[in-house]
Amino acid sequence: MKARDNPFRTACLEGLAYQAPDRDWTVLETRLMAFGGRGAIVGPMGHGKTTLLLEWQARHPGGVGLRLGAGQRRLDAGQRRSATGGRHVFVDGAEQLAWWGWWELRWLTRRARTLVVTAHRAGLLPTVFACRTSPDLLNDLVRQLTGEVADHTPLFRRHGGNLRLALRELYDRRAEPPGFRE
Amino acid sequence: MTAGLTTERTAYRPGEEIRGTATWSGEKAPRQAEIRLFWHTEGKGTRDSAVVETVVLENPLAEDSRAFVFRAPDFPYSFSGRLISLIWGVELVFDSGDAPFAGLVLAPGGVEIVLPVDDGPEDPPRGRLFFSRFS
Repeated sequence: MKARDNPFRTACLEGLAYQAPDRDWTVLETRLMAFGGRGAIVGPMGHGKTTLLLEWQARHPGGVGLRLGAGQRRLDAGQRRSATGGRHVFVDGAEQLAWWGWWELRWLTRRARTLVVTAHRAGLLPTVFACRTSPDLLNDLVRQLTGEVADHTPLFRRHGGNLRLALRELYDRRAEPPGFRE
Repeated sequence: MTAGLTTERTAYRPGEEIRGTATWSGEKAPRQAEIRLFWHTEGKGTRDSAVVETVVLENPLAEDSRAFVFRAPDFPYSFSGRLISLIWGVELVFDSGDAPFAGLVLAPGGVEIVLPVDDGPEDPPRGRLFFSRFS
């Protein structure tokens, strides 16, 4: 199958909305305000933290989004400038920052109304939402992408609940021609 | 607002003229409107894109139709493999964020290049390897 026809291509995955029965924006915003406008979305890799963060940012036009790369210990110059003036700041991958980078971010955003970060573990900021996955969620995402109803529980378990990896494997399966030898 | 974009053809060779028409209709005139020739990638990894040429439409009206011409660049070619497809297109972009899109193929012969499936090197049977020395 050609990449552009693959139902698991990146553009399609990015079009999926974050799904969780307990995700309610009013509750999340109220919880964040109760924490002084500072909070974290936590969860292991591939559990939807970035998707939820981007949706949250989209609710605040003009909000500043910062994405930290693997091993990025400190905000770069452009990110520091953006963080300084931001009223609503959203940081993806805050666990990458070293302690001095983290406290620099806290200082630069001290006047921001909100600071929401994603992290693999709780502790940086009060947890406003913990992302979870399930086989049913994976099955539902696959149904949305392909229209097919199937049980992908073994795939879910093999990837330890990491939906990103599970969906990438499904991409590879679709990409392979019929009879392709593994 | 309703808007549409058509091109005379959907496939082009490098260097050819891409001609088309953009049409739109709305209650208010858009503040800004432009037509972009661009490519983007689709597939498994991070998406990539580039705007190659832009035509800014002067004084767009609430209901309007504008012709446009681009010169098809020499590269990159439209192609598709298992991991990545490179897709050309023309889009009509308004300040409101609306952006109708028309896909194009840009490649030698006007045909998308389809990359062969590489299923890895296959070792020849040992017997065939031995006798090939004497053939």
